[in-house]
Amino acid sequence: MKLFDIAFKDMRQSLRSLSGIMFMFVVPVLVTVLFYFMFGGASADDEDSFALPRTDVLLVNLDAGTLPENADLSSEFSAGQSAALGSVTSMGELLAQILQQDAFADLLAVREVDDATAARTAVDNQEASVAIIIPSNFTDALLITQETAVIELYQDPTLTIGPAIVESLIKQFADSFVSTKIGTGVVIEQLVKSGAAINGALVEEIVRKFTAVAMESAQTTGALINVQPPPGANSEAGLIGEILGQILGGMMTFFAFFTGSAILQSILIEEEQGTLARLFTTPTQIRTIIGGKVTATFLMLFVQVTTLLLFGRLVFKINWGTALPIILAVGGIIVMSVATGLLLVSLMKNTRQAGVVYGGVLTLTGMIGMITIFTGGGANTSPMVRTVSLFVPQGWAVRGLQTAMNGGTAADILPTLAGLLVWVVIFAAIGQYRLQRRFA
Amino acid sequence: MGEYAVEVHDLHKDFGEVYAVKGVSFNVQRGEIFSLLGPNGAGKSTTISMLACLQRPSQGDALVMGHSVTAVPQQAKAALGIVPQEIALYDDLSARENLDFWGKMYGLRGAALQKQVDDVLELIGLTDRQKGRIGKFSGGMKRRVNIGAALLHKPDIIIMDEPTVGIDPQSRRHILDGVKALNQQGMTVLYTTHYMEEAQELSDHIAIMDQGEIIALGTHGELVRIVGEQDRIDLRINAPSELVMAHWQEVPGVSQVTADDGLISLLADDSNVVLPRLFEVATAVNVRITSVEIQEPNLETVFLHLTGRALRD
Repeated sequence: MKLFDIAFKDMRQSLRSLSGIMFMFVVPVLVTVLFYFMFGGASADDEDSFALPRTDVLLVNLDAGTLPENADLSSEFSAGQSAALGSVTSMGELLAQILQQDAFADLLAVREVDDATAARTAVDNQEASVAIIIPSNFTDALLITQETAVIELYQDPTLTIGPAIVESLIKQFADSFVSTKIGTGVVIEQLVKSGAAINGALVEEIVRKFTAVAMESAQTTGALINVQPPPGANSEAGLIGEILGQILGGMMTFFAFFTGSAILQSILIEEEQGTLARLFTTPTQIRTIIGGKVTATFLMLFVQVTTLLLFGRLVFKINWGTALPIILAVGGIIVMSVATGLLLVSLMKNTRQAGVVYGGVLTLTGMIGMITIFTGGGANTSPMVRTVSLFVPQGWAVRGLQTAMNGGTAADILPTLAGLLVWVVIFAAIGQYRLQRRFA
Repeated sequence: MGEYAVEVHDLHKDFGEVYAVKGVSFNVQRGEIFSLLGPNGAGKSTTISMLACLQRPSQGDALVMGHSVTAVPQQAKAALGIVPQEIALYDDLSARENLDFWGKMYGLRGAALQKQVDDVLELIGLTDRQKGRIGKFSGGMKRRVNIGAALLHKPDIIIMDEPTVGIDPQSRRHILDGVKALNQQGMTVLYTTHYMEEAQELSDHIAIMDQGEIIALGTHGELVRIVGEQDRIDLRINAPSELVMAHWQEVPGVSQVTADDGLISLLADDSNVVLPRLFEVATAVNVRITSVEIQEPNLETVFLHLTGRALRD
């Protein structure tokens, strides 16, 4: 009972602390709102226009190749698709048309220019974000087995998201035709091996069919740009919602660790103010006092995280995933934050030292732990970056949260929770031991 | 249960090479006010810390209402109410919230707790200010709440560690009267102070401590008799005290001469006989005496007699 008396007293004090409230609730929300405006939220007329700013693209089509005359593919497409293709004579033209489709109009503003050097200069002068330079052998490379070509993507180094979208589109386009080349080669090889009669007409027919499929695939905008969230992920809020979800989740984790340490710092504050010594003069066990403070920290973190989750859900329509996985992930964050706070407070001599060390250690480890958020959190993150983030407990906490947000199940989160548990046990054991010894 | 509320047996406390308390022993009778008197650094607070189970003795033991502070500290703590030297309250909680919390730490709950909080608020005269945050209170008001927090569970013994340090005379008077009132209600009080007047006014028994040891123990009358009929003479001169101290020391009937901040104190068998001689000696060395004060024997005189130093040193 005394444990809860101490816990409620500490919670009451925390909720009366302006700086505590700022760090627990206001700063994470402010950072997320800031990102919202950075991504165009300020100019939004309504919540549906919550979108990325358009990327200015200069397209230089140097493709000198032509589609074979007998590659009349109209019979393979629907009337609408054939009309859309129009009089495409090369793969370069096809790519240009795809990038200029209405479906991408909100994302890309594409202008065709003739001079590659001028396009690069425009990017250097920040008059455009990206220059796409299609080489002269582009068509040949896509249709002839031995040929290779290099599309140059010249981008403003200060930008990340816009160029990444352009790169993704081009890669998917190229992948469609590379698979066609491979498929065509494999089919012909197998026919030869099986003893089938191969003639030019048959080969042309195979190539024509594969090309048609590839072109149709390339024309299907959904296959190219549809950033389809995994089941349970941010389908409502869209790409920006997903980004904001990552940011708010990251901020929530980052500041949860600060909250855990700040509330447990009350041990040092009470030691300096004499109330801890007075507590020790009452018939209250040391473990009860420490337990009360840990309980207060746990409950305050629960309030903080729940508030931020609800805020993200209600204001930004962030889908945090299904119930059980997000509960497990958030539980991991809370317990890890408490254990980290316990360890840190046990290592500190006084609040002055704690202020400096907490700021440095928690900021540094927090930034390392959030690397995967800065890199987008998806498949774009390299294995090395993922590994580095796991050198700190925040990295594990973030991983659990990302797993839940990406539609992972409880089973998917369990390995991360197991990793977190190791950190928790080590930190809590050291912290508890040191505090018990210090105040024995 | 014996006649003593507190029994202290050969308590020692060392911090490595430094001995803070060296073999202190005393008994506090039930229902009395017992004072530990001594200058800063005498070992009073360390002794109190060991009784309050905040520090473990290096050697020896103490019984609080029969409970050993080393063997069963939780029982000993339950019998005690501690008023720490510094204000130990939560600034961001109200007076009532503070008392409520400290009451809970002593195991009080529900209606009994609320009644005790009400009673204590009335006792310390802060019923009207119970909702005010401690951080906004004056020093004297904080002191009163600091004492009140130790009274909630109606302890058998209350230990007050220099509760009047740094407060105004009015609050000091309030606290001293409060201590007497508590004692009249049957509470045993163990009081530490370096103010001779407080010990003299309050105490049934006084232990004088210096450099970690008890150098004298008894009632006020018993202690004063240690110095016999000696008077204490305080003088000020118009020159550095060194010019006359050695000469005055040799005057017949003068037993001790000390100086502090321009004030020279002497112990003399008969001030009527000694004082003219002091003037003669001062004139001989061309020094003028600017003020003289003669005091009857008191605890200050006792401390001076026993240690050769003034209590304020």
